Amino acid sequence: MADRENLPTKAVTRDVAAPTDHRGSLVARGLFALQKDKKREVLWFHKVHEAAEQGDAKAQEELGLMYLTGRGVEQDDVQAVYWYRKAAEQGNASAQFTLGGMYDYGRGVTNDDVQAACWYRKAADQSDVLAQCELGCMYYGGRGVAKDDGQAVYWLRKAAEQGDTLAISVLEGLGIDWKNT
Amino acid sequence: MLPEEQELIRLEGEQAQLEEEVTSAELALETTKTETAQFQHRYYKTVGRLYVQLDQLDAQIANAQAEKSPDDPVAQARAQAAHERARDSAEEAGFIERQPAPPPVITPELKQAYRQAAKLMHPDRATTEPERLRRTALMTQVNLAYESGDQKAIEKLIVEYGQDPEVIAGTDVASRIVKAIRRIAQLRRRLAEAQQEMEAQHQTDIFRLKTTIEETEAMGGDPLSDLAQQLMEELSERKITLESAKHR
Repeated sequence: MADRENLPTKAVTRDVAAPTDHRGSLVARGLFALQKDKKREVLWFHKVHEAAEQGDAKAQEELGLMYLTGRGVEQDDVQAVYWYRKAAEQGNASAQFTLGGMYDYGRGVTNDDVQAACWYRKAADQSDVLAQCELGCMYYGGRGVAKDDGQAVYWLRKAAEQGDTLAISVLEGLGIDWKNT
Repeated sequence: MLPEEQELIRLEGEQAQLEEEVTSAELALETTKTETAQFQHRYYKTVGRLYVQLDQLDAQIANAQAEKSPDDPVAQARAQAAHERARDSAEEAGFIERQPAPPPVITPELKQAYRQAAKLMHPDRATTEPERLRRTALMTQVNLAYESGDQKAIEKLIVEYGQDPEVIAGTDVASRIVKAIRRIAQLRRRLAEAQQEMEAQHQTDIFRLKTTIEETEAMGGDPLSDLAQQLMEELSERKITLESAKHR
């Protein structure tokens, strides 16, 4: 079954947007310099950390991503899992999806397909398209759940209907006309 | 109360509310523009001027290298490009006067639009004094737009002229209803314009730079000073490069 190359994450970090003016105006150069400003990242990390400590689910998710990618803080998968779990337990769908991915890929936790499927399921139930696709794949491969082609197609179709290209190509590979029936 | 009188009250209420909204939107836009301009000034004074110095040093370095190899077309072109970049930077930061924009091209379409506007709005065609004043003010705007080659602005003035609520002089209910309807349409246009312009403001690099800097400052950072510090280090490195370029 198709696996994504890297652990997918979805949290949106507050990043400096790339300058629109590429002629190298003084303003665009300032924006570009700020993108690489490490001090700014550290400050942002502290701000997000504070909000996460206070229980803000979005901040917890973002903090997880900062630990995962090593932005503003030393890269640390265990800390990433810790914060993603906090957000996931509060019902944040994209954190649930990423936490599933951490179990799936064995990052910051011991690989555990049952746990992975369980968190994907929670996110999929909230219409998270990537989680729907991953869950469908797990049902098809019988990983972490009992193999069930009906469930596999059910979840893959849900993802395909939302335009997930991986789910579409998997369904097409299985010879399933997902647009009809 | 007659139904048309009720309708007039409703329209005038809608007009008053829209007027409030337009005022707020235009005020917010002007505030954003002013604050952005203030930030830009601050940025050029702290960081921009260092980029200008950096570009000037680069131009001098390129020049020194070009002088050493007068037969090398690459070195000559580099020196020219560095010189232009330094000039552009100094212009942007307002250290040297910007070269005046070339005069607009007068296209046949622009002339046509002007003729149409003049025919419609010329003050000589007014029959009353207030109407003459109104037309004079409009023609001033048309003339300005023509001088800057702004065909779109003239076309907009023509449309607005045709729908101008101020033309309606009557004070009876029917006239007041028409006047309110026109006024509402005019206000809606202005509201949409202000919103679009605000959206465009938010997309500019200077606005995004301002937001990023202010966010970082709110977190206790001092990104402009950090950036200035970093540029000053680059400047001293460039000065050494320039010295060695001259004496090699």
